[in-house]
Amino acid sequence: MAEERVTVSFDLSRGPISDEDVARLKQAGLTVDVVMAPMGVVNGWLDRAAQETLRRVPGVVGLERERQIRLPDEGEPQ
Amino acid sequence: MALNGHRGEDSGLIPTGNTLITYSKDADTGAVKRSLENSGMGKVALSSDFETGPESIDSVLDDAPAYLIEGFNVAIVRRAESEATDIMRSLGEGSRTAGILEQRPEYFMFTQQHVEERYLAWLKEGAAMLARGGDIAARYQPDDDEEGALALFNDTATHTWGVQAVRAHVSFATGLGIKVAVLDTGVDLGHPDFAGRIVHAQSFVPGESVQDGHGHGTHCIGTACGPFHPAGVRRYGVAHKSSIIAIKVLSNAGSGQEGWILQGMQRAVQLGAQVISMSLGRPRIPTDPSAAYTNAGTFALANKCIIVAAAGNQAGLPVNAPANSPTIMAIAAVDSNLQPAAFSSVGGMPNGGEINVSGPGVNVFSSFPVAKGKYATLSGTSMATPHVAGCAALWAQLNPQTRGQALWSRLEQTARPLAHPATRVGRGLARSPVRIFMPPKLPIPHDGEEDVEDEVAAADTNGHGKAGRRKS
Repeated sequence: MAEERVTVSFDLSRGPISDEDVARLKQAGLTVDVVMAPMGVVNGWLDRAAQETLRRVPGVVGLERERQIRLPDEGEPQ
Repeated sequence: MALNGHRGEDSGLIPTGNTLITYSKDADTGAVKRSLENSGMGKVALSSDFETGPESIDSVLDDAPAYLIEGFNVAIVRRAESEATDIMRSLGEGSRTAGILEQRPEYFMFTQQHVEERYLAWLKEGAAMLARGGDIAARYQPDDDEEGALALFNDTATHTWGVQAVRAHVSFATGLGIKVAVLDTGVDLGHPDFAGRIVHAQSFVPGESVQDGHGHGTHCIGTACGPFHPAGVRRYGVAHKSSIIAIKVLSNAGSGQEGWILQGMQRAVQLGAQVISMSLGRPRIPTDPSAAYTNAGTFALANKCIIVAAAGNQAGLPVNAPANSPTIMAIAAVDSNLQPAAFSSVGGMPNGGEINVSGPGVNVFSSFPVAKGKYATLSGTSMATPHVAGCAALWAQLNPQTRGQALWSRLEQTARPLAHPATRVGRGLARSPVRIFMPPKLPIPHDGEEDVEDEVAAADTNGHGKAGRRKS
């Protein structure tokens, strides 16, 4: 198992994420952490092997590895 | 605010062309009115004629050669009548009987406090033009674009260069009623400059309160929303009466997960923010624009909110995420000569990778946590972004319809064009709304050959004596 933290995005034109959408993500292998339903975004952990399965969930338009954002060091342009 | 009147042209003030007549408080208004009318100027209006509303004022004044402000015991005789006759002489002994005390020229009056000399000079110049022309018409001039003039800004005792460059110091807008959310390292809740201004503060960083242990967030909030009169230092904030929403998405060490940031974006929109300022980002990756950030921007726009984000400080490299999403504005940095900052990332990538507008981003003085010195001077697109957020709040205050995409467009349309590629500065330097006086096109000749509107616009936007040219 090589789980990584991911962000899943839904087509917002469908409206907010539904419970059914979340259930499908879980079925596809996502360990759901945070559901931002109005914004069409879900955070969670996913095994890399399950990526293609998850991409086929109806309404999913994006699957991204969650990254860290870091401010520049002191003395550098901020 | 104190008003300052003067007694003569040699004191530097400008006559309007009208005449002020003062009459005794014991005088009978009707007698004064009749006395003026008997001097041959026609029917005189009374301030009580205007009770039906402002629309009727114009119609009354259009016809009246003079009008009496009854509560103040003053009559104002219009320019044409004033030039045609010596009123006191024509009134003769009858004026004394009616209780008329004196006549003198009416002068333009100017605010005395909190107005920079340069602005005052511009205002007087505009008033002089109006005096030459007669009627006064005032309207917003949001598209007074110019080019070619190289402006030099400096911090003064009263304002930072950035506040001046975006002309917040001469804006009548304050940001009152507009919620500005700043997603960053939090805020110093004990900073005196934000007392009573923070309407919501929340942390999405696990294990950390919203209290800013870094400084970056407090600096950015200061630039966007800092007070009109910070004690002991120059004004550094743009939207000085806006409501502050401080959302912590970066830790005290200056880092954060994108999931925290996305949660913060959704929260800010749900709290009703009209403007979200994000001075953060990561380098572009091949799969950008991020679907998640694009969704966040779409969600914001649909809820009458815009997100402005720092383009990044990777000189020569593309715009960072989230600024490179098509639903989020990307903000570049310029210096105090309005040159692109050397460090500022470059636009040009399609589908959101463009620079939209620029903001002051070099040597920016703003608030800092009290424990770390209370104020600090920093550089970066992080500093440019809250300047633009503040401008957005000022524009949003003017019209409840100017929200979301309309506010985005307004910021772009009113930006000051700069003589640099759009890949560096976008549409130009973001600016605040200012009200300027616009005389109508006049047949009366005046000094020079420039169009009057152009002169006013250049005086307004340049502020340094170099008249620019309207693009057309």
